[in-house]
Amino acid sequence: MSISRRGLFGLAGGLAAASVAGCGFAPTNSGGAANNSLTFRWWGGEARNKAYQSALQIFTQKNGTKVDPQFSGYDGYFNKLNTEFAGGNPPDLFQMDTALVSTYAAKGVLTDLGSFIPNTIHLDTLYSAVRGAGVVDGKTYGVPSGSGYAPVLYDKTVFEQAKIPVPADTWTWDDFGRIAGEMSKAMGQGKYGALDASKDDSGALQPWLRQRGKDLYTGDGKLGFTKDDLAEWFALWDKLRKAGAICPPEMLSNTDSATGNHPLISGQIAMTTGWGLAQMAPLTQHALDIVVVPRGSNGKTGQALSGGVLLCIPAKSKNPEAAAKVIDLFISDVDAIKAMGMSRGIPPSGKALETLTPTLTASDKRDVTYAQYVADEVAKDGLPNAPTAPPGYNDAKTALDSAAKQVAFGKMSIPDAVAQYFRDAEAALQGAK
Amino acid sequence: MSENSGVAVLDPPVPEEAAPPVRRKGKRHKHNLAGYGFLAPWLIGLFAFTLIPMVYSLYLSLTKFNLLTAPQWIGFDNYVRLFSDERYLQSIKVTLLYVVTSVPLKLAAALLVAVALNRGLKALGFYRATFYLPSLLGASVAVSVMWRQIFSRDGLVNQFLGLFGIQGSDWIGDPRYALWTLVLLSGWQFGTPMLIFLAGLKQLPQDLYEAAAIDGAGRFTVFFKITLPLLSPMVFFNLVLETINAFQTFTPAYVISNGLGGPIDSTLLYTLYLYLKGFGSMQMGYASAMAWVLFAVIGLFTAIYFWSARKWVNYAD
Repeated sequence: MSISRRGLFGLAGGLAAASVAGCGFAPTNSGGAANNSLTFRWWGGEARNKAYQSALQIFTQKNGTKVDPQFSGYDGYFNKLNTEFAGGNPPDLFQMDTALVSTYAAKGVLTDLGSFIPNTIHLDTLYSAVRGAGVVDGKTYGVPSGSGYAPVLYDKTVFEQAKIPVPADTWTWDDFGRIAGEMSKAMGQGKYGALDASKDDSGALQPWLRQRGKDLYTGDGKLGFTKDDLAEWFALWDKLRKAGAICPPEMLSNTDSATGNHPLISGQIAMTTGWGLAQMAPLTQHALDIVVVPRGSNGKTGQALSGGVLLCIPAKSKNPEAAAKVIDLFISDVDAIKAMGMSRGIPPSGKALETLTPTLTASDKRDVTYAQYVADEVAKDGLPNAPTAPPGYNDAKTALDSAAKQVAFGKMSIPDAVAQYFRDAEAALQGAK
Repeated sequence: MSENSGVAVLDPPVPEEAAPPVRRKGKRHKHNLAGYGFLAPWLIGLFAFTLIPMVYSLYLSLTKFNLLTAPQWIGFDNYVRLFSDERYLQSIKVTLLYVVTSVPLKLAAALLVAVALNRGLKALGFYRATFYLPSLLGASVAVSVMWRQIFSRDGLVNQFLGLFGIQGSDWIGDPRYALWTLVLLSGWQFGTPMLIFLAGLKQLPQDLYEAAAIDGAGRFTVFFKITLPLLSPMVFFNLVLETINAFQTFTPAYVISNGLGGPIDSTLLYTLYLYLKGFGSMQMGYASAMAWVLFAVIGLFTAIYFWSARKWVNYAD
């Protein structure tokens, strides 16, 4: 427990040590990486690990190239990756968070996949809306491996008990507030109609902004809305909070859908924005269902198709050709698509979906029909695709979380919180350039 | 084991590698060489994993470094920016509050239990082990996860309060209470200082107590006039160690706040913010500067302790 050994420098120094170690180990990785093998790193749960591995087996059978799979949880994934990039020894292919691709592209550590399209990577099999998910400054740095629209999740059983009709796909934000209020009353003390989503950037704020013809970010990496927009957004939620329609902010500390530590599972709320039907449905006796995020008064959904996770090739990949082939396998190879099923999210192409339809489970099917419905509705919106999240996105997201909670806890007035957000988020986007 | 190395570092006048070469003369030099040979495994570790990374982090603290591209020299900019960073100032506030509350709480609990155990209990070994157990689990993630469950909205504490018809708060979700759950967790892990106190209590000279008994001194007088002064070296040792530990607390804050330091930065301990800056925002230069400021602050606290020790620590000899 000496000063020098523990967390203090361990954090900063450990990185240096680790990168030194990384250099030392470099030969073991590169030695075997002739043109018949490559390393592939991803994060994911049990289901995704199995799915990817079975797809990679098919890849080895078809191409004779061996793939060394390296997987872990999301926690620490990028820390380790950063360390390896710093040591000049990244994996040959890796899974990327859509929101972070521009951050890495800006550092020049990713391969521009342009030279592999369309001959090796058949990008045109993807839905046109997701093709841009990995595009930064006109260059394709990543290809999506799954896609989807973030819905509103609700507890059907609680709605039935309260004898209140479940939300319809045509509902608006006014309906949302009214239904949440009615549910709060019906559910009784300590329970609330909906989770506070004022901090949810991609699941709630983004559709709300797009309904108004704006977006979270502009194409050139600036904030895509004004202080007035955000003040109005916070005011919308503040009104619901004061009316008791949404949960008090204390409840926001326990909203982990992956572990079931979520107020929707414990029956404390009836609705929430965001992903997680597949993870949460098995954790409760109640029937859960999804509905499209409330529409604007103009009827637009404002939904933006998320590219989910991307596959990227580092600039220093030792086998970029084979890595590009793996990417193509994920999006267009029928056998691999069948082997992976829905475990990686909804496949990002119509072809993949058709291939899968006969084998789907009930909750999978619900996800798919929902996605198709929303895709049709989004087409009616006639809105441009959402721009890729800019470098510094992570810190801007943190800034929204902080500002929204300052308002929720009553620690800051709405104008002060808005000012704080714009100061922090603009600094984050500026600093990341 | 780790406690020992802590002492070695705290004690500046023992530069182990520097001392021997001064006396090197003829034959002795060869002996020394063999000595260094045997020391080599430790020395290599010291240089490779402590000193060189430290020097490197000092260099990084003067650069803008995003982990992916080469560091850019920016001089003292990081240090200047620290003091206009509101979250940084918040993290200092939270950390100081944590240190000045958790350390006294932990030491008081340790001393109390040590004195109680020193009364000649029958199954002393059992109790000692039981009280030490939480410290063994110490900085582990499992304990922090458990703590999260205990203090969450429908956790153990609120269920207990519910028995008396009291509707408890969401202790972890409420910024007014979240930090205190961390302080309580630290206080609960009083095992290590307790063992040190217990060892100290066992060595206190009995004649003073006999004299006090003859003079008719009461329990409290005996404790405050005899036990505490005699035990002051142990108090000092524990105080220094626990203060340093408290400044470096990371795991419980990370787990209990889901790695974010929330709600609204109320559990944003210094090292947690350092981690978020370094690996979350990829500002490793900035994070390195934070590490060096923390190093300086801990050094300052330790120096103040040692300086004040002359006034209140009694060594028997």
